[in-house]
Amino acid sequence: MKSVYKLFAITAILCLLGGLLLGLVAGTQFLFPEVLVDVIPFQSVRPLHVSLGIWWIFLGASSAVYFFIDALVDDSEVPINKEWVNSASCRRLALAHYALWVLSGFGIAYCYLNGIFGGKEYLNYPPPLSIPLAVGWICFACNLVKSVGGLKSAWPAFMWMWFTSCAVFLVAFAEAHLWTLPWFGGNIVRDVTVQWKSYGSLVAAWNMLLYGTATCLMYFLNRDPKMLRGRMVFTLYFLGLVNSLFNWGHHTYTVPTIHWVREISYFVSMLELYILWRIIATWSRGWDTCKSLRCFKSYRFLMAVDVWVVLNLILAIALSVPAINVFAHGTHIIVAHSMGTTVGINSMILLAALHYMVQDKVPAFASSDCRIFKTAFYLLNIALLVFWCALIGAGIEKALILSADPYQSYRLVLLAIRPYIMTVVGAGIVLLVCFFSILIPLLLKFIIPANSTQTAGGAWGEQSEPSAVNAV
Amino acid sequence: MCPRITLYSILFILFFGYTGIIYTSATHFENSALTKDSSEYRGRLVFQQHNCVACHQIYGLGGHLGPDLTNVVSNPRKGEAYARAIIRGGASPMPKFNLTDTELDDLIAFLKQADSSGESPPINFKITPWGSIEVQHGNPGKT
Repeated sequence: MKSVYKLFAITAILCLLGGLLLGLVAGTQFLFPEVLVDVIPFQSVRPLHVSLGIWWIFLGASSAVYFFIDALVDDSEVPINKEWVNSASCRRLALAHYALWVLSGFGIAYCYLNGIFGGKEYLNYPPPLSIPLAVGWICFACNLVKSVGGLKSAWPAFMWMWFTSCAVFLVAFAEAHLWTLPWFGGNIVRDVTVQWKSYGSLVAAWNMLLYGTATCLMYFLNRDPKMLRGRMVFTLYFLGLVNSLFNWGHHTYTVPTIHWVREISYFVSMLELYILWRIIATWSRGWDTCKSLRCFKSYRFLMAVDVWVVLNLILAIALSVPAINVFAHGTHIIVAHSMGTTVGINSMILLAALHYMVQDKVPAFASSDCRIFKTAFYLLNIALLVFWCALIGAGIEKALILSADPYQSYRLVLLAIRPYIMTVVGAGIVLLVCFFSILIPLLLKFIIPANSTQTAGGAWGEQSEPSAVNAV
Repeated sequence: MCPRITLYSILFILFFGYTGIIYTSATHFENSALTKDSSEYRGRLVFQQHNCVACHQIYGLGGHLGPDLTNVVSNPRKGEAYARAIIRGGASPMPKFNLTDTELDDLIAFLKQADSSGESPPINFKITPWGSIEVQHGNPGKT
């Protein structure tokens, strides 16, 4: 698996770059519908933008998992099935996973670009294209199972998170296609309920994959055994699992299901208050670690994740209160939540992991002591905050208009939220530039052999040998 | 048995039980469109084949470029005739989809099914003291 993870990483970064560009096109078309409409209409741009974002997460996380399993081979705390990880079969299975995902990815992109749809929101492609995706994921799950096959001691929390992610993904992905059966597809309420039940679990699956990756990365950064089997990481794992199984209902509060479905989701959502409290309670302790590790790019991204987790948790908890959700539902506040979590949490975790992955080969690159990186990093977070706040503003404006008059002309609603969307697009452009400034050097480190990149690294203002990297 | 195994076993039993209820009886809305030959069922496929959800919402779930379509056919300022005209002719930013008459009828049947199932955004609801809502869904006056 020594080089397979690079394939995943390179493809993931390309997906993110493509997704960002299409996001800008989608935002522009929202303001000026005629822009590029003959080249790529909005109903193709949106699913492609979303799909590229999702592929970035899954491919990037898969890359990190393959990398860390390989890196754990010689770790006495986390015994791994060394024979399997070093075998050709392991590599072949990882390559099969990659090939199946990339092939179906091209198929899906072809369908979207040619206006061939047929699926539901987020999985808008014709359903047969889901088969290679599912088979690819099974390859990934099998590889993971075989890699820890020889594990005699207790599994670390991040392994549980990865396994849970594999299982939840497969169940939820199958569930997302139940609409093809008339029992589900023929009843609109059942159809929407089951669709969003599965989407809630799919999001939980990739969250679990990423939280496992973040926990594993933290272990690599500070070698704290609590990150492996500590009570706290298992408590958070348990809460994540409960959320993945039961906390999808806040998507369907306004759908006419029986009322206790809403009450169960409301109760489960409030368990997130505990996570919020834990983060805030341990924040001051985290600053000590922060002082010693802030010189690493990886750690900077993890610091940003902490801030974005708090902001998005507050928003998520508020949206989980049905009395608030009934007004915010169907507005851009939901978009703020999804973009805030996808960019602020998921992408930051992946960027932390990917930067850590290249530091073995290019130590100088791991240092955050680089002017361009620092500028891009801080600007990215500021732009994301503006982007996030503007979306919430647009959502509040829409909610106020529609709660005063549910039959209001939609054209007037669009006009009212236009200033907010212009701010979103403006912040989006800054986000795009910052991401490119961070991602292009990272991409080059994965593509160009280590010796060449160390020489080329100087162009980005990096130190040749940062002392902090050597300290680890 | 180990308490941890017991805890996780209970969790999974609850999950499968809950899932079973969601699949079979999570809604009071019943209809007769449970066959692939029904107009509503075909209309939903038309809705999916043209990716209407990229711009529109059903129950507030979907895109934001166009209005929520859950109750478009009973909207006092729009209605079925208006919906037919817009779908047939397009209206910027909505493209013209060149649907056949049958496809258009099926799509309208699907929208009528959505309309008869409930309201979005809910108009008739009551906020409970603990922050939940009691929604009065369904409109017997609608087809």
